[in-house]
Order: sequence, then structure tokens, then C-alpha cells
Amino acid sequence: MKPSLSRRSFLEILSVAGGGLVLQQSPLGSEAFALPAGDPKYLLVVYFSGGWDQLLALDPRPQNDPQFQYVAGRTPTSRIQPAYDIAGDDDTGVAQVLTATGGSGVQTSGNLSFGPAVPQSLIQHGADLAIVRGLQMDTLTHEVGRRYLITGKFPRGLVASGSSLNTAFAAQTGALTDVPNLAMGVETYNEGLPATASAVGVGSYRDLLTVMQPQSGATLPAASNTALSQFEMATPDSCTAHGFNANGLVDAFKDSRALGRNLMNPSKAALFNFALPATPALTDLFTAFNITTSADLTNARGRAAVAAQALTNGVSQVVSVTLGEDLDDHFDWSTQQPAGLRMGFDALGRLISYLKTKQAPGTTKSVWACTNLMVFSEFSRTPLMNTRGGRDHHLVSSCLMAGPGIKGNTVFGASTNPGMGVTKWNFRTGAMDASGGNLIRPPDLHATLLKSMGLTFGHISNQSPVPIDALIKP
Amino acid sequence: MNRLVSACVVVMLGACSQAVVQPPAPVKDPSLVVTENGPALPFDHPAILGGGSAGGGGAGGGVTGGGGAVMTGPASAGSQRLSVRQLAQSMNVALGGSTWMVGSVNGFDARTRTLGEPDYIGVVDENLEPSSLFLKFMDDAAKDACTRAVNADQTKAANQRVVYKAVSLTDTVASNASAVDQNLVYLKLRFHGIKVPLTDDATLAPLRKLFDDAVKGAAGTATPTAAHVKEGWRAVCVGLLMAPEYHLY
Repeated sequence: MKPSLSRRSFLEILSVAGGGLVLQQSPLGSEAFALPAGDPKYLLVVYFSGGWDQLLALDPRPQNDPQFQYVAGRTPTSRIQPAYDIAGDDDTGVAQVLTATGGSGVQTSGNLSFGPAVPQSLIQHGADLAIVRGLQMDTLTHEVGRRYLITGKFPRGLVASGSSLNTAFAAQTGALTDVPNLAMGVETYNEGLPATASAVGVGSYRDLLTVMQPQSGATLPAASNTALSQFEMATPDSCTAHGFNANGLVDAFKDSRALGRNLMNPSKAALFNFALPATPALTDLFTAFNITTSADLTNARGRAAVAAQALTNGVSQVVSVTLGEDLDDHFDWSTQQPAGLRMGFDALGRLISYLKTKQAPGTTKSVWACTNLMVFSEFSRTPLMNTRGGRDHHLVSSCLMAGPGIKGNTVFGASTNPGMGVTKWNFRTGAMDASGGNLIRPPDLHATLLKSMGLTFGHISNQSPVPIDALIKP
Repeated sequence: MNRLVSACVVVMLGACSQAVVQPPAPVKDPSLVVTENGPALPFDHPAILGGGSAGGGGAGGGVTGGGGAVMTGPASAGSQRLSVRQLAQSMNVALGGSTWMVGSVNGFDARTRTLGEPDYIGVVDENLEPSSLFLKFMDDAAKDACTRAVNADQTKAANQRVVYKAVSLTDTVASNASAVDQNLVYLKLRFHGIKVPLTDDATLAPLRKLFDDAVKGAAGTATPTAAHVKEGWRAVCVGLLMAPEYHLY
């Protein structure tokens, strides 16, 4: 099991982000850094770490249906074991859902269904959400699955290939805010896109405070700072004259130098100066995210609160954040998995609710109405329990999406009975098409979300992505 | 191995074709100057030439590009950013022992992962991207280290100083412009390895203006004092440490 983020020190995680940068002509072509017209665009990428159980979350089965039950010691005929009763023995939340649903454990909201670990704080937003089921992950390795969904490109061994979705988004929408691309506990990569699109990686609010403020004692007088800025803007560098800029390195350096100084914004840094008891300026935020203890400041709800502050105060256009942790439950599933999932989904539900209360600048719409969402984990967990009371890695997963261009209250795809396998689907009609359809893969999700935003997905073209038009609003 | 054998054959043929082997003429490198502190190795980087990979040495001593074009200088690898360890070691040398500190810890060690250094557990390649996060912390580093270096200079004899070596703290652009220029030339060589003649106003003027603006900004309407002049040299130090010439090679 991986240690939780709260146990990690800041600057140890800050640049887990990173990945190699190959400075070259942007594969996004001339559209890179062009600001699309219309409403502001935000992107929220949410990661559940460790491999989530889809029976408890986004792809449930009714526990009280005989095909999902052991009969006389025999494996369920569907080879799918929800085991909600086992989870309910250790988890009061699951037990309550089982009672409320008459023993099935499946919660519904419009066309959507959710497992018993999904709280009402998220289910209430079902009208805005789309669930993609039957997602073919092609790997059972944590790093590979995670990086596959982060970049939309299958990794080279364990090494990520291509740029993160958040980086591709930032490159196309431009660096318009203090920290355009913020990553909290999520790996992020830039391969071939402008350096200014790279994410600033942090682990918690403390890290963001460190980034957004100058080091104590390392400041110049205002006049010197002004003189320095003028010097840097006016002075031709000899590196370019020597041909160092052949791969764009000098330009990237200068752009990042300016952006690095823009990161330092002490007045906006105050937005992240989380402490208890809450200051008057933070009271509403802390109430919305139920932050009452010091541990809450850095857990999933605390990170969701940081994301909320960044998106609603013009600090960031794109935030990627880990909200689910420690889900790699091979043997402690019933005590860990439901609680971990509920914590993450609750933080996400609160975040959506908060974004709905804040107005996007220059519009009459809420920030949420301009926000695009992708929620994922590296793979799912086996539909049958193992002999240690846990679940192992399973290839077929699900994903949660939303956005102004995504059809809410929609389910696309399904995992099969028996065994939660994959089938092919018609990406235009949304119907199952075992003979002429496509399997659903991570690059298809990236292409779908980017296309729904009016952005390009040329950076993943070698993965042959197919946008799921059935999920995109006409 | 084949190349080595071929090269040996060429050398042997060359040797056989000459009755007397003359020692090679000493290469006259006008930019190599020996100072009282030893050789001042110049930056003077050869141009990075395009047109394909370099070929073998031609008969005329030139270099043939992969595309067949004759290049006029040696080929060079692509440019890249200094690694964190290179920066940590070079800053210490450039600033005469002063370096970036975060509290009581060397800043390059305190921020090692942040700056992209591998831990060889989860990350095995150093991230050499000049990202905004990297440059933010380099800004902290430059301002902190330059403050330390300028303060340290105050306790040193004139010939041991690092930042304001060719001037005194009473010299300003108005009172002693030539001394200021000489110190800027010295700093340009010390920080960037670039030799700048005193007549190169295109290079010196922006640095001179930076120094002058910082001194005047610190002094306001008063006559500049040593503290104000020190502020000017601190700004020049930061400007040079934050320049691409310092970080890229």
C-alpha cells in the first residue's frame, strides 16, 4: 500500500510532476496559445490512486440478484461478486445504503447508477455527469495505467509518453492566470508543448504558499525588481546568437522566468493560508468542505478546497488533484476501499457544489458551468474477492466525465456479465456493436473531452483516438 | 572500432607521405588569457551549426556536415539547461563560497526534488525542463545567494571580493563610470564566461543601467551611499544569475 499524501513532505512531491520536456515545434500547431473565444474554460482532472473498485463506485451490480451471489459455496454464475454485505459489516456507510436500497446496494439518479460507496454529495449532481463503463486499460501495472490515463498515450515501459491532459489543455488555452496549470499530488508531463504550459506540482496548501511567495529574506527593493524586469526584457542574450535557441530552449527559459515571477503573488497566496480556526475570509470555504480539524487541511477535502480556491479566484485554469488514496486493497478491502472511495467522491461532490455557487468572470454562468471534468483511476479491482478478503487488479474500469459540451445524466458503454469484461460500442449512436464498434480506451476519453471543448487532440494522434460523439452535445 | 582503425590508417599514411614530421603549430587562441588567478577560460562557445550531423575532419581541417555542406567551425551538441548539481557547484564557485540557503540547509539540497533531481526510486531521470517552478526557485536562489555574496564582500580585502571587485562602494555611474564598467566586464566573465571588451556598449549598457537604476532606486533623492551602491551590485548579481547565459550551455 502506498503512503498517503498527507505523510509526504511538500517539496518531496512538488516535482514528481515533470517528466521529460522535449522542446520543439508544438504538435498542437498554430492553435497552441490561441485563446478560444467564448466562455472561460476550466479543466478539473481527478485521480483516485491505487485502482478503484467499480462495483462499489461507478459500475455496480445489485447484491440481491441471485446471479451475483454465492449459492451453496459456488462462485456466482455471473462471476461477479458485489460483496456489499461483507463491506457493510465493516463500513456503516455501505450498510446504510444497503438498507435504504432494499438490499441491492445500487443507488440511482436519473439514468445513472452508483455503488454503495458513492455519497449523495456527488450523486446529487448526476444530471451533469456522464459515466463511461467498460474502459479497456490494457495494463495491470499501477504506473502504466496511471500514466496511460494521464497522457492518453500508452507508456514506454513504465515511462510516460506524451503530455498530460492538463498540459495539453493549458497549452491550447494559454497561460492566463497566476498558476495556469496546478497539479496536486498527480503526475504531470510535458513533451513537446510550451514550457509555460507545464504544471506547477504541489502536495498541499503549504506547498502552494511556498510557491506563491518569495523566500523569506530573499527579496529585492521594488526599484531593483523593476530595474531587473526592464533589464531582462530589453537585453538581447548571447545564447540566441550562439544558436542555443534552435530547439526553443532560450525562449522557453525566458517565458518560464517571467511566469515564475508571476507565480509569486502574495495577495493571492493568502487565499491558501489555511489554518484553524478559519479566518473570516475562509469560513465559507471551510464550511463547504467540512474542514474542522488540522488533518482536514491536507486530506481529500482540504485538497478539494485548494482546487476550489484556485479555480474560483482566477489562480488556475486547470487543476489536477488526487482525491482518492490508498485504494490498492488486496487484503483489507472491506475496511479500506469503501471509506477511501467515499472520502474522495464526497470531496468531489463538495467541490462541484462549491463551483456552482461561484460566478465565472465575464459571464453570468457558474464556474462549474464552464468546468470540464475527468475522474479516473489506473484500473479497477477484480469482480471476485480473493482468498485474503481483498480484490486484485482488473483490466476493465470506468470513468466519470462532465463539461459544458458533455451530455449529463448519460451512461456510455458497459462491462459485461459475466466477469466484467469489455465489448465494442458504436461511438456515434452509443449502442453496443460487437461486430463493427470500438473498444473504449483512454485516448478516446481524452479526445472526447478535448473535442467537446472545441480543442484539438493532435498530440495523441498516434494512439488513433476516436471521440465518443454519443457523449458530446451537438 | 572501424573508425579508429581508419583514423590510424589515415594518420599512418600522412606520416609516410612526409619526410619530416613537423610538430603542430601552436593554436593561437586570442581569447585565452592568463590572469593572476590562473587561466581565464573563455566561454566563446562555437556556434551550434545546423544542417545535419557532423562528418569527419576534412582535408582542409573543416568539418563536413551531414548534408554535405562545409561548416566553418566544430559541431556542437544541442543546448540544454544545467543540472541541479552543476548549478549547486557553479554557484558556489561564481559567488566565492556563498550559495543559496533555505534556513540552515543548502537550497539545492532542500529543494532537490522540486528542482527535478531524480531520487532513483520513483524518478530516475533529471527533469531539465526550464519550468516556471524551476525558475521561481532560481529567483529565490539568486536573490538569497547574491545577498550573501555582497554581504560577504564587505568583510574582504578589495582583491578578494567577488561581486564588487574592481570598484569601491562609493563608485557610481555618475562618479566613476569607467570603474563601474570594468567591474561589469569582470562580472560578465566571472558569471557567464564571456569576455566583453570595454568598448562593447551593447552588452555593458543594459548592465550599467540595471546597476544605476537600482542605486538610484535605493537612494531616492539622496546622494547614494555605500548601502545604495551595494544594492546596485546585488541587482546586477541577480540579473546575471537569472540570465540564460548562466543556465544554458
